[in-house]
Amino acid sequence: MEAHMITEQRKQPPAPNLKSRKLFKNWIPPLAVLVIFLCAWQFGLQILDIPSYLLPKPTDVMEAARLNMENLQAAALTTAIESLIGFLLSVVFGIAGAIILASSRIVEKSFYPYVIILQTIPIVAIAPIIVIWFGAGMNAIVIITFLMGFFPMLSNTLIGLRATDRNLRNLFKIYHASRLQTLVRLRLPAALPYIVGGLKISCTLSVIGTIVGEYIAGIGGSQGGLGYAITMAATRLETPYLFACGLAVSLLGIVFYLLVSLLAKVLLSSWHESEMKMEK
Amino acid sequence: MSKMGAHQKNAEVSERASLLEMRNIHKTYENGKIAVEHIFLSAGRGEFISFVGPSGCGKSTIFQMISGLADPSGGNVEIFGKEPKIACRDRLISFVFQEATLMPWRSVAENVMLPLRLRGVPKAEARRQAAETLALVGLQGYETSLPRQLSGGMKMRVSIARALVTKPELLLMDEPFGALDEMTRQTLQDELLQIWRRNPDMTILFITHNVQEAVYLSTKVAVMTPGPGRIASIVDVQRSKPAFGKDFRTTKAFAAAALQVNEALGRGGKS
Repeated sequence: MEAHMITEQRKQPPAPNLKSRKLFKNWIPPLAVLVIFLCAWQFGLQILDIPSYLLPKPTDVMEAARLNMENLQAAALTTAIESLIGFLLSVVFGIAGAIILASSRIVEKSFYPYVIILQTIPIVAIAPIIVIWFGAGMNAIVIITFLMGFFPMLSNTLIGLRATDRNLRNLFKIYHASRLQTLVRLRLPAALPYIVGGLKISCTLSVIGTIVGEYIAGIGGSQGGLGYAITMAATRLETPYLFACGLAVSLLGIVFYLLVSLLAKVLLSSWHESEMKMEK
Repeated sequence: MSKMGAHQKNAEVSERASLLEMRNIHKTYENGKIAVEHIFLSAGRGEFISFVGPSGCGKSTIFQMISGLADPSGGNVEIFGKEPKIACRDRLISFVFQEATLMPWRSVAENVMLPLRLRGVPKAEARRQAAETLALVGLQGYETSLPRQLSGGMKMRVSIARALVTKPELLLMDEPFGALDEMTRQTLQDELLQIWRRNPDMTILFITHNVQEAVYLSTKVAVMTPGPGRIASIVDVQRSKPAFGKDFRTTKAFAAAALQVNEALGRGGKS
């Protein structure tokens, strides 16, 4: 079916009719599933008469979100800022670390095992230590976020830096390029598809990292984030609000991912297979 | 600084007729296998020497040693009396690989500008020279195209332009037309000959599997045999200057040289 659609498109420029048909095909099935799921959830619970503190109905969740909108927005903003800072730190240090590791085989061989060991320690185990060192709040949360996103950035960039085409490397050697020239003009751009892969993993992980951080480190600054709101809602048995917070976290992750995907398209669409349009 | 280098280069050029000297080169791999041995070769300025031989006879290894990408285990290589790495530093050598080896994220012009930019030529000047060289290979108007938008033959032209843009003394071509279809291959062969005629001092070393191609292009054909790689014989192609071009394929000299090369390949195979 899918293949049939593509050949049809190739033959003639997409007619508006065909375009709307494609839109229909892409959007209607998942939307239908969502509507059916929400209806079943809503009416099922109404029929079974389950109390909302055990399992809230969609309308309960929406009501809770509406009543606490101000808190919810403030918490989401805090979480977003913490995630973003932690994510950017992991990008900067991940790429910088990979460049250092890739600079020589000996450096890589000596340090990479410890990077892996650090990665295998569960974040929940390190988090309390970080809180002890850096104090509860924003600092600790950002560092926990950074640690979540750091390793995927580092290892992906490292693979990318190592995957440079051999002939191109030889060409740079023949033209007597310096290490810096080879890095800036060849290895980093060639690693870009891998770096983008790392960005996509790290950006969603960083949101999770922030929530974990807020769970453990509590209030960041004056305003707690979504993770903190979730713990509070749980202790107060405000289950509908808890659901609303969870939903907000997931929305935040999706927004992050979409932004990074957009960036990937801008960076790669002109030359790399992974982001090219289907037609080619 | 670069001007002084150019003067120096010219002085040395006039001193020495021979551009490349390989004396008793041998190369042994780390696993003890002998790649090539007893390689003697001398190339004068403006010569076109092809290396013909089956896979694994060490043709590419020889090129790697000439360009300083690999060191010989014994013997020495000199280009204008300089070690290969020094010759590379002084920008005497260009290399064309079997694949076009272009940077996919850079435009055609930017790919050709690369060798100039790496040695610090200002962007505008590099762009001007790249445009000039691209016109030489028939690619004017494609400056802003990306490599993926070009056919295999056009990509190879870009690759050749990138090699020519530095005006090298020695051009190494490692099976550059091997992956192209026959029509494109013949067109590019003729274009290469034209470029060579316009730069009569440029020496070209050319690797190929194809006997016809070797004879058609070259002034000399080095026939190589494997296990371990050696130069079995060097066949002189008798060609007078007017015999350049398509007509050369039908001359007696062409047939005679091709026969000689084939015989050398066969003889090497038996021993």
